[in-house]
Amino acid sequence: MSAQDSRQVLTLARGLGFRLLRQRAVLLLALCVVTGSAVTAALGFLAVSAQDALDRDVAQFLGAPMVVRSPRPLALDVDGLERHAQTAAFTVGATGPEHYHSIALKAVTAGYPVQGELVVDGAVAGPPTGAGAWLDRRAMVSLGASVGDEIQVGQARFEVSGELQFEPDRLTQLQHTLPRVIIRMEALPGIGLDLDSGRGEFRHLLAGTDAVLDRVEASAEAKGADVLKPRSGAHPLARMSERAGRFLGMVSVLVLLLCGGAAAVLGDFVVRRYAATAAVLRCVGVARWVVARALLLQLAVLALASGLIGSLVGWLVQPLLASVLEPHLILDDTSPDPGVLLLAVGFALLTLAAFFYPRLRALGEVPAGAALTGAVELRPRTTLSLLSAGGCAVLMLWLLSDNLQLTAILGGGVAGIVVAAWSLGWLIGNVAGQLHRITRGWLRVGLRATGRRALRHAVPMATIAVAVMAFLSTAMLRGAFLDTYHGQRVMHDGNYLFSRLAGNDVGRFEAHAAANGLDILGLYPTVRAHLAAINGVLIDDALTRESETREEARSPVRLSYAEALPANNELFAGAWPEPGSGTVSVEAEVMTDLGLALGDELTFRIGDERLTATVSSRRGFVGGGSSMMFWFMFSPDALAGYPQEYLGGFVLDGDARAPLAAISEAFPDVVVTDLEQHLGRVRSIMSAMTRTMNALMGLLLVAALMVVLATAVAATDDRRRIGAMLRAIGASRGQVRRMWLLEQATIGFAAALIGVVGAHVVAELIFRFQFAMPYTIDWLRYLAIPLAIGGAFALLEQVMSHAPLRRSPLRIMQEA
Amino acid sequence: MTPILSATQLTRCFDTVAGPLPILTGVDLAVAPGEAVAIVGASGSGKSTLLGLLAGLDNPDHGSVELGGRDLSNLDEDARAALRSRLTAFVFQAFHLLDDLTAEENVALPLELFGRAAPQATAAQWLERLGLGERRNHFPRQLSGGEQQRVGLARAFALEPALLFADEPTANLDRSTARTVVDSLFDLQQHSTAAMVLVTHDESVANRCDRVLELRGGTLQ
Repeated sequence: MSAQDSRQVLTLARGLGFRLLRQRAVLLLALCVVTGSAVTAALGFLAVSAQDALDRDVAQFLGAPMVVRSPRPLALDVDGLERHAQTAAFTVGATGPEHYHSIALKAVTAGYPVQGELVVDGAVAGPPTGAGAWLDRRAMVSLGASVGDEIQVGQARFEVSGELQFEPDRLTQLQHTLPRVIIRMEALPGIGLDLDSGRGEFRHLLAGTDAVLDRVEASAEAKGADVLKPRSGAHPLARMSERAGRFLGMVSVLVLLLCGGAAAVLGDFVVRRYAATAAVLRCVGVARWVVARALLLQLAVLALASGLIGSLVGWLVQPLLASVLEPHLILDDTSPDPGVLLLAVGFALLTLAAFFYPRLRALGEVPAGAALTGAVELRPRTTLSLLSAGGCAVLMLWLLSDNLQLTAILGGGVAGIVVAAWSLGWLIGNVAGQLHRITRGWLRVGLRATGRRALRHAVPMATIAVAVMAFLSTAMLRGAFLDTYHGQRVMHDGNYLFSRLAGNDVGRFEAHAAANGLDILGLYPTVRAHLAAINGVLIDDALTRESETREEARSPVRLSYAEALPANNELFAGAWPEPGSGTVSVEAEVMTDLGLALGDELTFRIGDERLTATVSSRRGFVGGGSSMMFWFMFSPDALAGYPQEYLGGFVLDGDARAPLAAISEAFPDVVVTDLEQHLGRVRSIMSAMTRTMNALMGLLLVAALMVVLATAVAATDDRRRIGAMLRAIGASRGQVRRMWLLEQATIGFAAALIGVVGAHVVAELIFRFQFAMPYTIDWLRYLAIPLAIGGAFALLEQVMSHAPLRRSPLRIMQEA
Repeated sequence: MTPILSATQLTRCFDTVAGPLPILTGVDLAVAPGEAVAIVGASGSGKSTLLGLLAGLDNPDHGSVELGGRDLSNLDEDARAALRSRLTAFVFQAFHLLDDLTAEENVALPLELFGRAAPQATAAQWLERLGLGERRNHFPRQLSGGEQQRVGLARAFALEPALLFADEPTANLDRSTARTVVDSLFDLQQHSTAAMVLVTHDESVANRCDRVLELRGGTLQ
């Protein structure tokens, strides 16, 4: 391109630029790009921030370069190590000045932590001294304790000597949600716990040269202990970190898809408006590529400016998103990541380039003589661009979710919606075409107009339907999860759960309960074990498909037994284990997760012994509530020779502190869990997740509204001109308004109907195949949504048509 | 004879950045039933503004318009629209056919809208009469400019109006096509009872009307 050509492009772009910006559609287009890039930036910043926080937790999770873990105290040769400390963690009951509560208790030796920092009262600290205890904020609140108060744990009393603010090697899963207390290792025996019961977790935290660590590792493994290193195996927090990043990425993709869709609708409108100008310019001798490049330059400047503004907005908004994740995830202040900024601006440029390219090419092909004949028609070839955009979206979903099934469900959902929109457009066209013959007046004209333009509305309909689907399926998943947790009620086995009651203490415990007015509702024998092998193949080798399943399978399990099928259980297949048969009944979901079938052989490790049993039945749970449900159940004789632990439930109303404190003192090893408290904790985590989801859904909603506005604005010119003509020949404003309302309400209703059906199909597939959960819907409630959206479209039309219907139709026609 | 349309002392100003710009400063006009009146004038003289006022599409600053004996200033927008639908029809310079409808559907559109009997059959008859019988199922983009304007004429006359407003109906057509369209226009007008107010630049077209009025300095002369 010569300097003169460049000057021509610049002059044209500058001359037309301000005119272009005065168009409402272009401003809305800029708003779409700003929203898209703001969301990309905000979620990008949040993802980086969350990833950093989780990575930090992962790095500090072990608390040492190497950890040796065992269920009982383990003696290790620690000669030659640079640093060494020990911890012992138990879940126990504690009584504070006001409340009783389950806590995660950790006893630590001098030298703890080996890696990372323990922060107490805002300063780096070591273990507490004497009978002191560090309590975290939740423990303070749960027990009603303050610094200086005393708490009772088992048979020992501790003084609250500081507030624990950060502990590097905190545990995961249930313990992660419990209030946390740290004491000195020397104080542990005073509590009265049976340290050899195998229900605690004892750790050696080790740091030293590789040679020394290798020696200790070999020695520990020879003694049957687990050896953990930061890089060994999939880690729960690492998985959480990875999933959080992917989830945020997926929401970003959905929002970008919607903003991109809105940009496409508006882009078509803007370029069509520009087509007449292009034809005139070509008539006066401006080259076709100059015309196209001038518009491209204007749009590129628009995209760049919008992208930068969006990035800035994203940066300003991300602290709000981060705040909803706290206090469950402590995020560091994040400085702007240039990668995220580039991504946001890149989105802006790519969206416009991808959606405008076919139209700009078509613009260059507008015949020069079109301006003379007035027949300027733009025929962009959008199939390739739609297929490319769809392919890219599916690829992005796959990369971000790393889940082919989920990608297929979401991608298939979107593809299904596109097909449904076209089909419904065709159907509306035909039905309205037939219906208009039997109607009269404005209804007849309106029906025909709606029918004729139905196929043309397929793109906006599909875009709106995808927006509705994205929003609703997220809402349904969120709602269903919340219902699952909020629906939990304390039922069959009481409102308190007790566990880790030694077999030989059962009689004493029952007598104690009776003396303290506790009504024991259930008492179940268990044997702690690990699943070691399936059909003779070790778990690590048998379960290579998903690390998560393998991790779960490696966790300790409680085996139980009964003479007959428990009342709240149901056999789906097979028979209940007969005495002496060497068989086991397995819970249905566990069978699915582990890929088990009837007749498979399971080997359990109980202490140093092995127990092998054949799967004889597939078993499920009947009814809701919090009754006991055991994964693996045997006939009583099968577990007779192994150490027994009991768990069960009792009812306790009113002030529970005194009876619970008495249990804690008399049976230090017994853990009592308040089910309401436990569910409350789960609910609070779910609430934080809900807030996060709500914030993300808010972004989705904004993007969906962009789509709605884009479709409304894109059709404005056409409707104004037709409305003016109809009014000139005698149609009243009311008639014109009713016609438009009919058309817009039909589009809104049809699009939302497709979206609702699509959302249900997607939600059902996700529930069935991703979460293996039952899914039920309230059709009536959700069918109201299309009616509401149809009404909203009609209302929007009412607002948008208000001003044009007040203007002189002759003037509008002259402008057209 | 009572005029079908009469205007008395119509004035209309537009606000501009340089202050109020008077377009019409006292227009008087009476059109008898069946009469054809041409309004000519230079570009920007206010011909289209006057047409809008006469049809009740716009409101004058002062003065009054009576259409079919009804004073438009006493009617609200919807009542004016109802009166227009009963008495008048329009032929536009830019045709203003609906792209999504066929020629026949475009003609039938106002008939359907106003609940007239047998709209499809009536539309087909009018298109046949204008030599477009073969093109009745074509969409506007498939028709030439002259054909589109003839569809516009069919749409107007199918309503059997008492008064036809024609806003430079040949301005977008070549000379030969314009002549065909004008012939059709006057032929239809003379074979109906419709009066006509025709705005045009073309003197030869204006001269075929019963009266020619020139809009100059905001008044008709």
